[in-house]
Order: sequence, then C-alpha cells, then structure tokens
Amino acid sequence: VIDRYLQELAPLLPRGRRRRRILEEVEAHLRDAAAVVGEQQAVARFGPAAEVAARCRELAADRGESAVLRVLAALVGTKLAIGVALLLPHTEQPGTVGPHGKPVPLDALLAVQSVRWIFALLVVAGLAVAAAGVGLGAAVSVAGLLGYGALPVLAILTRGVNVDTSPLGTAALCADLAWFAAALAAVLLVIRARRDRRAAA
Amino acid sequence: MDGTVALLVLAALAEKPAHGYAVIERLRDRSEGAFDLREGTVYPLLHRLEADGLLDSRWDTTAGRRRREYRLTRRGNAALDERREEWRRYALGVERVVGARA
Repeated sequence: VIDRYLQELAPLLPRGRRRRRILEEVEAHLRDAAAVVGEQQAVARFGPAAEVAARCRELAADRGESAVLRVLAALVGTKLAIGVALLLPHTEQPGTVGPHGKPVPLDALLAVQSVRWIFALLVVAGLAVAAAGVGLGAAVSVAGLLGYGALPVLAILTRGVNVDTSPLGTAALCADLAWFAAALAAVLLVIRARRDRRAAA
Repeated sequence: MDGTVALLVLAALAEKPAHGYAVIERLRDRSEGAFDLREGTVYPLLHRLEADGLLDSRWDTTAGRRRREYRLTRRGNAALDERREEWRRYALGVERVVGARA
C-alpha cells in the first residue's frame, strides 16, 4: 500500500532533489505510522497524494518566484550600475583595436559585456527556477543561452561609430526603458500572484 | 488556519528537535487528540518554515532508518515568542466576546 502511494505521489511532486527529499520523508513517516496502525490506515491518515503534492508544488512555485525576484533585483542593480558607468565621460579601452582600426570605446565594451552578463544571469536563474520544479525555468535558460551566444555576433556585425548604435544613443535608451518596464511588470505580476495565492489559502 | 498550525508546529519543536512523524505525535498527545492533523499537510509546512529560516533540518539515522530532523533556529524561537503573544491576545479577545454573558 505504501509503495503504491509513493508511486502515485512521485510524478505529482516538483522535480529533482526536492522530490527525492519529500519522497524519502514521506516513506519514513508512513513506515513509522504503519508500524503502529497498519499500512492502510497510515496512508489514509496521510491524506490524498494529489492534496499533499499540491501543497508541495505551491511551495516550489513560491521558491521559483523568489528566485525570479532575486534575479530581477540583480538585473536591475546591474543595469543601474551600467547606466552610471555609461554616464562617465567617454574613454577608450587601451590596447584594443575595433573594426575601424581605432581603440574600442569603453562604453561599447561595457555595454556588450553587461548585456552578456544579463543573459548569463538569465541562464543561471532559469536553471534555479527549473530546479525548483517550475517548467518555465528551462525555457528562460534556453532563451538566455541563445541571447548570450547571439549577442557577440550581433555586436561584431553592428558595432561602429554611428551614434545610433552607441549605448548612449536614442535606440539604446529606448531599449533600456523597455527593459526596465518589463522587469518591473514581472516583479509586480509575481507579487500579485503570490498575494492572491496567500489570500486564497 | 496555516498560521495557527505553524504556531503549533513551532511550539511542538520548541521542546527538542524532532522528525515530522514525531511532531504530529507530539501535537496529538499534547492536545489530547484535539489536533489530529491530516499528516501529509505537515511536511509542506515544515518545508515552508525551513525556507523562511524558522527551522533547520538534517538527516538523522536511527536504527538504520533515515529521517529528516527539524529544529528551531534562533529566528524560529523569536517567531514562536512573537506568535505566542499574538495568539494569547487573540484568544483573550475571543474569550471576552464569546464568553460574555448577557
């Protein structure tokens, strides 16, 4: 009876290490209880697998959201730091040579590197969220990886002296604005979803 | 309801560390059967309290059986004191209303 219950519970739980831990705890609990009241009664008192799993998934979702919030906070912090750095007077990176045979401007390097960091953070965050059992995490990771790989190629293709492609150009400023709006919207959505869920509970 | 059960679990663990099954037994015994919780709901709660930093846990092997043992952290102790006080105020208020005779 206990084995059947565990088999029913397992696929309903968040994946990975958390699933293994929950299953091990549940099994130890059921074996202890069965020694006193028998397997049938132990399982009945434990409650339906779907109900137990739903509560575990709820916790996993909360953790996933917390991870998303932390990453977004890190991203916003990074972005702000980059913004401050770009406000400094333009300098050039000594010892580098750009496509036009001139030293590469520091702001261009900073911009390319920082966006790559953001994609890298997305990969890490996506993996963390996926590990917490939220399927969306894997998609975020893949998107981050694609962005991380694609960005240097784009940078090489588009980098030049044209002001529109500069990190201080209008296009870059609009992109930053959109980025901040998206991050803010994501944070607000997560907070609202969490509040709704707590209120429902 | 979850808040009340969390208080009960924290209080049950204040005495000494225990694994999930022992926590439930302790609650049942101390309440003389009044708190006969659906046992499966206690584990997600233990995990949540741990994620909130109120509990700490580690594997404990006794008689060849591995069990996850939970203990209160310093934050957990502080939270328990705070929730106890809240509960006393709440219970007193309820008693004043419900127990009042016309």
